[in-house]
Amino acid sequence: MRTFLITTLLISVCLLQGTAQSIVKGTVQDKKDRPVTGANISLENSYDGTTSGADGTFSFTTMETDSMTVLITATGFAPWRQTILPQGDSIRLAIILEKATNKLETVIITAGSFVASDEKRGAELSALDIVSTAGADGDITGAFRTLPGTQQVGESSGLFVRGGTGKETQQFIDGMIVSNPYYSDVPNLAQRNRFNPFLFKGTVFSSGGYSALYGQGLSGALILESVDLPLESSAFFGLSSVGADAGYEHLFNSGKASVGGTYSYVNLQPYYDLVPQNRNFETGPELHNGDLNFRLKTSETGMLKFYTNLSTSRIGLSDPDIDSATLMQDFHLDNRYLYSNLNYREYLGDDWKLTAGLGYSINDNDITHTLHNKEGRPVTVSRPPFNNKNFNVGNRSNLAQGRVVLERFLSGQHAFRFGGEYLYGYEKSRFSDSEDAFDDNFNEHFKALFAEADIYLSTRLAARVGARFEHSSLLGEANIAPRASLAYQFPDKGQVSMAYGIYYQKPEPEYLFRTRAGHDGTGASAGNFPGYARASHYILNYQEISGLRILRIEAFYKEYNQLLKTMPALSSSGEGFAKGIELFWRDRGAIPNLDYWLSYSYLDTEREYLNFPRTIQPDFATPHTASLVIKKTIPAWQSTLGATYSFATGRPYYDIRENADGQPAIYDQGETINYNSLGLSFSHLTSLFKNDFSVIVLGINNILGADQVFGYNYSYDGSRKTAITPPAERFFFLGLFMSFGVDRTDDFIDSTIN
Amino acid sequence: MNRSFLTTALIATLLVTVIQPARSQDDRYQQAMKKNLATLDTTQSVAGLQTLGNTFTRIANAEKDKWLPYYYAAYSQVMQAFMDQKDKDFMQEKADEAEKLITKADELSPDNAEIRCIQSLILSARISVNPAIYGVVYGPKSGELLQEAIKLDSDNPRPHLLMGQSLFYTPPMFGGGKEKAKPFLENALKKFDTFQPESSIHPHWGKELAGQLLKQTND
Repeated sequence: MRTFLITTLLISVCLLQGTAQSIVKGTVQDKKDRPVTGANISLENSYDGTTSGADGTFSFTTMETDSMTVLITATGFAPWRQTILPQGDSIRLAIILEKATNKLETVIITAGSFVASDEKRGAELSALDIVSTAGADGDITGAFRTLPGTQQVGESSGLFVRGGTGKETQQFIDGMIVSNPYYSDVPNLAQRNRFNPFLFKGTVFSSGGYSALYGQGLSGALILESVDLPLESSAFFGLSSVGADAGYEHLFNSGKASVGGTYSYVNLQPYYDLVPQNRNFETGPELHNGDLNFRLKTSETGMLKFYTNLSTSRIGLSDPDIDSATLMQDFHLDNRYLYSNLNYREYLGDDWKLTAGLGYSINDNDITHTLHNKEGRPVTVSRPPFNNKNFNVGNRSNLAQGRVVLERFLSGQHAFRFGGEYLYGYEKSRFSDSEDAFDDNFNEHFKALFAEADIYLSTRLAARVGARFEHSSLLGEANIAPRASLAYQFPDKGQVSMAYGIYYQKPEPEYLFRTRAGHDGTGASAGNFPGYARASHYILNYQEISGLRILRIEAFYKEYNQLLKTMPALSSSGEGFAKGIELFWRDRGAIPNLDYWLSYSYLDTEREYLNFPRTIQPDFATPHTASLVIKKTIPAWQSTLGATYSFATGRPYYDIRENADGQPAIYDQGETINYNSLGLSFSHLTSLFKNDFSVIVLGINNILGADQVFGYNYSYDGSRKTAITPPAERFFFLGLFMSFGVDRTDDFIDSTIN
Repeated sequence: MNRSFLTTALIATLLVTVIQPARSQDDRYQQAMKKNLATLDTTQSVAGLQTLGNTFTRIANAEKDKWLPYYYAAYSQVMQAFMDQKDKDFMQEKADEAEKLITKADELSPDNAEIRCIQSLILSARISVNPAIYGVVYGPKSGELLQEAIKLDSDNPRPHLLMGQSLFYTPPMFGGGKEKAKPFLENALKKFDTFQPESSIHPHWGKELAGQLLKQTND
């Protein structure tokens, strides 16, 4: 009896443990019935499961008898779950997996902008991309000129975006506006961007439809984000056909702070002596540039950065005077420039991010125009047009600004950003010629408030809605600019985005001075400033990114209102439109060590602006522009070969003068020849001393010597015109850059091995 | 048989049956790990590593509080990236997958030198996608992780091996080269002789690789 009892007990204990074995089998496929290989099939909270085979089938056994959840995960697909009840039988599952939308692949709002700071997928235009772009000469703006939406303008500075002028593309560093980002204007010669590409870790070029966080760029925005702490202490030295530079950056042992500074000297005179130019450069261009930076990691997530740049430059040019056969027109410019930027960012708890900045800049120009004869003696002629050809101009801009942005992260990737900025500007202008003189200045208090929300309606559909309020004390005028964009990601690949926005921009200071009593020739009274120019952007964009390839197609329509008019009187009554379609393709993975991109822009634009008598195609815009940029790295030679080919159809040019009725009229017009330019670059990595990393760079612009004409200058009475061309057919550059990294590897070997 | 014996036997039987699930669970874990680790040591194919990676992930998800299965799951994923270097998308996906898994291991076992090694290996995989682009982005961080690993466990041979491996494949121009790799590999081999894994299921890989690379530095 007792034995029986024990036996029964033991049996029942055994039974309790269960011995039923079930089989779970089936197939895993995607939506197009293709097998999914390598999927992980598991019973949650147990070891049981298997991996799907090459044909997508799977089969495994389990001893479980409770209700269990089958979980299937596979790379690139969303997890799949179903509850089953194994009861010693066979369970068959036919599973179809949906494409995953993880954070990386989640829709991002891209209409109108080229985001280049995605660490995981690689920057679209990193500092290295910029300096290795043939034909760009290491200039940020030069490299962005190979992207769609921009014009091949060689006679004035800046990015001419979608029917806008160079001044209509605003530049921002860490959110703060940069006034005078280019070296001061020189007649008929585009100037470089003042900032070195290596100062920035992220560059976003927006050809329209950009966020409410930025303003005062009617047509485009170049948004630059400065670098954080360097990886190690290092020194560098550079010597080139145009100058020399040196710098040192020290990373403190704590790894939490760094200081650095660079100095550079540029003088093109020796180069011009060697390579004849078709314009007479009597002085320079000569430039001294020094900068200092300090960066401090204030906490695990906090960063404080300071950057300041001080430079002086001068240039003197002497061109034949167009209104006479014998006289020369001299231009001399002295510039002093200071830029400084203090920036702080910190996360406040898990949900808030604070970004704050202070900035101060000074730009000071002294310009002289003089007429002289063949013997070099100054000439004064008191009849028109020569009576207006001897004059001095001095202008000074000071800008102080502060900016605060708060960002609140909400669950489900929603985010809300808001903030404000205050800019205090002081402009001073001095003018004198034999007949007239004035000295004037004004102050400007400019305030902006902005707010923006990122709303994820689903993982595939996102919206960004924002608005910006601005007030200018000088214009005595406020504006409200709404911005909105919507992006939808297709289940397979690719995404489509739309963007809309209204953009305002103040007139340039030179025009504001003209409105002051007596200086505009139109009798406008002091304080009667023209108002903001206004543009409405409508953008439709399709983008496909797969691995290292990117394809973008973008169509846009823009409407310009309240554009500045200077004739017959100063006013804000101009208007215009721009529409077009653009294509961008980049592939960095198809062929080993080859990176190339292709861009094409079609633009149809007209505007009534400045002295234009009616709505016409402006002289800075052409319908077709294309660029092909190729970079080939040859590891065995430790070298990179680069080529950039740019093409643009001809641009219109006009002779616009005042007619007998005091109205502007077109007396002559035409179209320039097509623009062609092939630039080549070669760079070789080597080591000249023990611990250095050196690059030898050779660059040639317009190697084929194609004729390039950017427009025409007309004489006073329109009887003569001369072509505006680059100062030389080709530009050659040879440089050696050495970086002496304080190489830690050796220290490390010493400390860990010996 | 007397009564007291019977009672004792009964209680003992019951005790055994009640305790058994707990003990057998740990046994099961040890056994599953040992069995799969034996397979891992001999697996050389992407499909094989994927199967193993999946198995380790299942164990990890069932156990929840053990870092080792997550560690091996991440290792199985990242090694696949190195095996098929033609498919750049695949390499990125595997690196992403491995990163998710090793992050879980890191949460369960912070300041673990073995985990730093895998984190560094994942960055090396990302660099391999396109060294010209990603070398600058991930190279320094990858090295930092190994330095941290050595600080955390100076006797562990694997950070030295990975440091050596990374220098081995970095061109001399960028501070690498076989000569620079050599002392690290020699050091790693020395440490492999003395290093005692905590248990039979703790990481023990790399000795052969260190030997092979060291041999090639002499070529």
